[in-house]
Amino acid sequence: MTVTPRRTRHARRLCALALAATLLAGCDASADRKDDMAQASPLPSDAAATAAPALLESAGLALPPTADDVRVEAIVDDTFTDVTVTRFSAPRGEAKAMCVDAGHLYGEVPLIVAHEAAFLGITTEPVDGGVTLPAGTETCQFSLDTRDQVHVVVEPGEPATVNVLMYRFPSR
Amino acid sequence: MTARYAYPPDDPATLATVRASLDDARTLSAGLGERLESTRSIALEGWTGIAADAARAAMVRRTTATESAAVRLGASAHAIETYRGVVVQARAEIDRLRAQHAALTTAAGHTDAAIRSFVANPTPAHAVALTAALTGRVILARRRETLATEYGLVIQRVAEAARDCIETLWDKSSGARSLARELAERDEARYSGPPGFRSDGTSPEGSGQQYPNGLGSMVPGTSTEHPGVPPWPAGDAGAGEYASETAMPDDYATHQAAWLASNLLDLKWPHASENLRRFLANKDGALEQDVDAMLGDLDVLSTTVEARRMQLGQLAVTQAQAAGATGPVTFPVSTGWQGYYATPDQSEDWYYATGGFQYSQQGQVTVYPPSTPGGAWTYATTTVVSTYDRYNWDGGKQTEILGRTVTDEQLAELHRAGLAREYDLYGTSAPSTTEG
Repeated sequence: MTVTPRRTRHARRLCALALAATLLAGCDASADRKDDMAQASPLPSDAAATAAPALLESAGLALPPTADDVRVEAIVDDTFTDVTVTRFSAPRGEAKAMCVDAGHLYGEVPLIVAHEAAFLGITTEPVDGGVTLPAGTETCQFSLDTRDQVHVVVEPGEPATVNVLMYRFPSR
Repeated sequence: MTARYAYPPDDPATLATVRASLDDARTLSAGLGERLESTRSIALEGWTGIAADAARAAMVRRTTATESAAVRLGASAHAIETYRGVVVQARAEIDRLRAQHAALTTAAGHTDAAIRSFVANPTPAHAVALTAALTGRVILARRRETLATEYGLVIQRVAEAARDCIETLWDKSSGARSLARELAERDEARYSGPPGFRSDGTSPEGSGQQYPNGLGSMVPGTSTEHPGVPPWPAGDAGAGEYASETAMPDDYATHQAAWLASNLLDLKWPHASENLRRFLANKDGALEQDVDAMLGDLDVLSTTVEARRMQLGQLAVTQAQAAGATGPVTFPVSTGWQGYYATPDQSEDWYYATGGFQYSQQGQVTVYPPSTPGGAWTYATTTVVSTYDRYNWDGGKQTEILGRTVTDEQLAELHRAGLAREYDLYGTSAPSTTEG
C-alpha cells in the first residue's frame, strides 16, 4: 500500500478577523496563509469494492454497471472534511447517465477550483484559485446539503476514468 | 435562528393566555345570563299587560343571546386549547427530531475521524473501520431524508389543526374574529414551503421551483414565466439561540475590537467588512450581496456558470428536437442550489465575506429550429445567478486582533449574548445570455 502525501495550495480557513489582525499588524494577509498538507491513502481493493457503491449511493448516484478498476481514496485535509475520491473506469455514456439520471446537469467545464483539483491529484499550477481542466473533461456537480459537496469529473478518453469527489465545507 | 426543524411559530404560552381570556369571557357571559333570567323572574313578577309582555320578551331575547354567546366563547376556548395541545405535541416531536439530527451530525463526523485514523495508520483494521464508516453514510443519508419527511408531517399536522381552529373561531365566536383574521392571514406564509426549508414570510426568500437537470416544461414561443428563486436551502444551526445568554464584559470588548477592525478594513475588503459590520450591528433579517461583483471576482464560479448555461442550451435543443418543434420554443430554467467555496486564493474579500455559499440559476432558454432545411438549431439561454448563505460563526479558528486572541467561538458568543446577530446573505445578479 502506498501512502502519498499531497500538497494543496489552498489556505487554512481563517476567521474574518484574521484580516483585521494582519492589517493592523502591518503585514500582508497572505503571510497568515500556509500550505496545508493533504494526505491521501487508498483503501484496499476489497474494501473499495464495498465502500464505493455505498459512497455513491449516499450521494444519490449509482455505480455504472460496467465500472472497472474501482478505487477509493481517503484524504485528510486541514480545511475540508470527509474527503473521499472514488475512481473507476467506465464507458463515457454510462458516466454521463450516472449524472443525468440523478437529475444533474452534465457537460464540459473548463475550470475547477484549486482545492478540488488538488484532491483529484491534478498537479497543474492554479491561476487565481482555478485550475484548467484538459479539453474534453466533462463534469457534474451538486450539493447534498449546504456543506456536503459532490463533484464528478470524467476525464477525456473511452473508456473514461471517472472521479467522484465528495467532501464537506467548513461551517463558514 | 435555527433554520432546520424550526418550531411552529405559535407559542403555547400565548395560546394559553388567549384560551384563558375566552374562558373568563364565557364565565362572565354565563353568569350574566343567569342574572338576567333571575332579574326577569323577580322584576316582572305580577306585572301584566302589553308593556309587561314586551319587556318579558325583550329580556328573554337578551338572556338567550347572552347564553348563546357563552356557548360560542366556550367553543372558541376549546378550539384554542385543542390547537395549543397540537402545538405542544409538535414541539416535543421536533425536539426529538432535533436530537436525532444532532446524533446524525455527530455520526457523520465520525467519517472524518475514521479517514484521519486510516491515513495516519493504514492498517487492515483501520481500513475495515473506514469502510464501515463510508458504507454507513448510506444509512445516514436515508435517515436524514426520513427526518425531513417526519418534520414535514409534524408541520402539516399543525397546519391542519390551525385551520380547524380558525374555522371554529369564525363560526362560533364573533368576538374572536380579529384573532381569527390574523391567524388566517398568517397561515399561508407560515406553512408554505417543503420540509426542510425555511419560510417565515418576512424575508426576501424566494418561493420558486427548481427542475431536474435545470429545465422545466417546454412552451411554444420565445418567452415563458420566470420560475423564481427557489426557497433557500436549510442552513447550519449556527451559534445557538439569539440572546439566550447574559452578555459579559469580555463580550463587549470583543464586539468593540471587531467593530473597529471591520471599519479599518473597509477599503481593502469592502464586502467582508460590510458583512461583519452587519453581524455586529445586531439586526435581524437579510443583507443583499453584490452577486455581479462576486461573479467578477470568482473566475471559476463565473466560468462554471457560463458553461452550465451552455449545457442548458444544448439540453434544450435535444429536447426540442425530440419533441419535433417546428418553431421557437422556450423552457424555464431553474437549477438546484449548488455549493461553492470562495478560497482566499480566489478572492480574500469573498473568502472572509462569505466563504462557502450556495448558488443557483434561473431564467429561460429559447430554442430556434433551423430557418433553412438542413440548417443548425440554435439557442439563447438567459439566466440570473442567485446566491444564499447564513452569516454565522461556529468554526474553531482563532486570531489575534488588537492584542487580543479572538476565536470563532467568541464571535458566536456575541450572537448568544444578544450583542450581534446571525443573518441571511442573499442576492441575484443581472441577467446574462449565452447563445449557441
